[in-house]
Amino acid sequence: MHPTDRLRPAVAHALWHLVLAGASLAMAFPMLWSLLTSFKGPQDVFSPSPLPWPATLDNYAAVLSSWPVGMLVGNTFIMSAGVAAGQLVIAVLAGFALVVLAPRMRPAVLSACTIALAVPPQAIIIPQFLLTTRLGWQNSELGLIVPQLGTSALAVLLLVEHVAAVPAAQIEAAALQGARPIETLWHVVLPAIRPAILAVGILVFITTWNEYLWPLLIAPRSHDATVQIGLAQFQGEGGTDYGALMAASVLTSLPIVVVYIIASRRIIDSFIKAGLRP
Amino acid sequence: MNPSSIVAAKPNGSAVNGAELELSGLRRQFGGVAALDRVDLRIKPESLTVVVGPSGCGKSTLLRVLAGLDRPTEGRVMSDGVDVTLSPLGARDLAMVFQDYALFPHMTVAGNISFGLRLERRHDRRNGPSREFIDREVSRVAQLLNLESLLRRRPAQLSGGQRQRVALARAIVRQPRVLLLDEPMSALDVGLRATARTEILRIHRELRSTLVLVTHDQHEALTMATDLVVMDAGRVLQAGPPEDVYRRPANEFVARFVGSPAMNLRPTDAGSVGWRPTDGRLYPRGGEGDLVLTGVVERCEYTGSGQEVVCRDAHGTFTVVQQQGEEWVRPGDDVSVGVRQSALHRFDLFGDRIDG
Amino acid sequence: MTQKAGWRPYLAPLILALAVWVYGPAVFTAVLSVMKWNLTTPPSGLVGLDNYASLFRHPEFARAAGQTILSALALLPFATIIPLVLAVMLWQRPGRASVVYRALLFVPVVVAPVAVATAWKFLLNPLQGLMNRILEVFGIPPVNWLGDPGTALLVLVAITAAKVVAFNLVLYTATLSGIDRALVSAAELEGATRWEISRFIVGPHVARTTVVLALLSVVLAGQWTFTSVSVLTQGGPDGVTDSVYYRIYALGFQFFDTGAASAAGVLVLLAFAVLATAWSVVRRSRRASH
Repeated sequence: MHPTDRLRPAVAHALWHLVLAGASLAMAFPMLWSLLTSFKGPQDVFSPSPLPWPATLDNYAAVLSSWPVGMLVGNTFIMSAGVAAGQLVIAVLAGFALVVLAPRMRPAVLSACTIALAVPPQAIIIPQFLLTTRLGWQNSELGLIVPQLGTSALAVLLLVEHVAAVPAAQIEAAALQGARPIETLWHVVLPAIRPAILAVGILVFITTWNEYLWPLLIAPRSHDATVQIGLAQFQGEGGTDYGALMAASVLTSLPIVVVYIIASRRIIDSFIKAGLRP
Repeated sequence: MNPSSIVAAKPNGSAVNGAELELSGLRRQFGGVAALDRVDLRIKPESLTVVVGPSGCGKSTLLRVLAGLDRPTEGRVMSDGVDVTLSPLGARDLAMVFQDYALFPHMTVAGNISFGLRLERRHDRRNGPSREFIDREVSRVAQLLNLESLLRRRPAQLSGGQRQRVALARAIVRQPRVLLLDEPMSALDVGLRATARTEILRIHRELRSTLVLVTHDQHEALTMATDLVVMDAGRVLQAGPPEDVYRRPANEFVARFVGSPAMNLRPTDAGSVGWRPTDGRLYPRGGEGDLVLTGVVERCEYTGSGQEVVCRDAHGTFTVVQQQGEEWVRPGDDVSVGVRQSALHRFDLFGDRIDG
Repeated sequence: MTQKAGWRPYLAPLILALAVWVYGPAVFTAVLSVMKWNLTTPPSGLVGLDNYASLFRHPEFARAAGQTILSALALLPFATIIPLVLAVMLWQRPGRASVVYRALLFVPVVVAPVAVATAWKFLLNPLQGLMNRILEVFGIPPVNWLGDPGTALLVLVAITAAKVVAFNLVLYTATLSGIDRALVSAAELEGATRWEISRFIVGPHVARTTVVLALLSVVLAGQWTFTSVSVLTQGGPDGVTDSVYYRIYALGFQFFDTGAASAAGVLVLLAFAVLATAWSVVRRSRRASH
């Protein structure tokens, strides 16, 4: 795997950069190219030159005027924030119960979570869809948010280990001071696992933001849709205005990428601590 | 018990009466292992009861059962005649100092100390402690434990000794009738332990609560306790004033565990006989006394006030303490040791003390 | 803490969410699979295994299943060896460069699949797309990437591969940061080469992770391909990019054949049950051997 050891260190180092830079470029290429294209004028859109010159913001202006970006982003933000908040509440309460209040339930409940995680969403989507429409939640944020709380299993698996890492003596000390369980959770456990909550929350937020199938079924109409549905429809309709399409794609993806890159250290830490280094 | 009534019954800053605790037939089983095995014990009101024993003897489980953190498999815990075996945490009028202090890391020192009082206030706005009362009580215990300048710090910014004082302050601010301390000195540097002992003794004197302290250090136990409880293998082997335990150990285990250097024991036909290293007298040869053993000096350890002499004979080693002024022996010397009848402890074949 | 009662309200939201939105639907899928029903008319009673029979009568489902398995197998190296090599390289030389590379390599994890698919549709445009422009330089005639049955599945696997590499790179990075650096320093003092360190310290540490990631990528990859298929090819051309996941969706929401879609769902669930059992057997035997 590493014939590099036999080479001179400088050469090995150069090779290291070469491989990683190449891989990084390949992995980030589609988004990078989208970003560059979004600044190109209509005559340069297909130009193989990577540099957008002359650069223009026309594409963004076109998208912002013809596409309900604000509404789509708003819908998606409400959905993602709702799902993240809901899953965090579920996971924190469950984690506290499984570590502090009813540790005996822990293996069984965590197994149920693992199995739920492995179920492919498409395999159970018809009953989910039927139930949601029967509840009258089509084309509503409720219909977008509540069914997606079923995927809380990952948040539970990630957070339960963090709750378990809170020193038991602190929890006992709080109880001896007269704290009720909910007060122990609020005053002792929550502050201790705040970084993990933030990391898991961001992870769920991003996953939900990128969700495609469920919003496609529940809220396909343009004014209830999420950015993913909007983007897919935009691509279907205005398929030839690639500059504007790339601008739309960048507008809906870049904020998420930036948030992730800033938070990635924390997210990885939460994976490590959760023992999800499988 | 309504927590607010306790506060109301406690006029500001005045001492409370420590509760009397009584444990009867207490058993706590973990799987097949009995951490507590039929423990009967009376803990006197306002005593400083020290529970001592080797690690794994059940002393920590005993403390956790007293605190309500652990439920006994069998038996009862009575507090002033009231059965509290199953009463919920926080409803018992007691506080605990944990071995590693268990301070809340994200709260300031003041926040840690006032935590219990703030909860009381939240639970009962009308009769609970007022904000002014809480502030007053926090500064009172902060003064008592010399923490005034540290109130705004967080636990991570404190030294080990300071953390221990915060843990004590948090435990005593609500003036509990019972204060439990789990190995409170074990996380401290040796140099700080004497100070910490003094602090705990002072708190015991001023608070007049019943203190139950758990330790594996027999020296700490002897010096601090008003009542000493020696445990091993889940059982209470002896309970009583430290002088009694030291002078009249109930069995071989207590005899060997309490006192340093440990008691010498020699088998006899009817069991064994023992004597304290301080009760033996060394003679170059020959010797006087009701028990005379001969041996060779193996090593001598100078202690400042004298020297500890380890001798070897056919049965193993025994230790004798020589005082300043005696004629000191040296390694390799042939010696004999004499012990007076009154200083001998006799134990039967089961290891139990034979009185006489 | 010994408070026995009182855990129910804390666990109830999770149990409820799992029961209503995962386990309930799984059971209901099984019920629907033996009924004749399309979404527009009321259910018209039990039909036994007819729905399953119809799945096997038409070749589409078998082909979709075959292509799903094929894609999963094709993704195995992208799930294991490639992210492992990248993760070890990043781990070997911690520093600012590693941080930058890592950030870039993680991008496919978080970029919306729709945005990625859009970008590829643009890059693979048969007339003016960058890919064909590059081929042109080498004198190769243009390829209709997404329209040609010979290349379409390849493209979709490649798009998913990037995401699998990135996702598993995150997990390998987490695994590797569990290695005690002191152990590595000690090995270096003993004169171990970089290769020997990888072989004897990193190797045992990541062995189990690799088995799990291989299985996990089988689970997730098909689902990740779904969005690309839906946006780019809708299963075509000639059904070569179809997968069981897309088939369920198409049967249920395009042909409104709820029964057949549910039967397909049950078959997928069964396949996963077999996989999960295999996994737990592997785990148990590993635990026994340690």
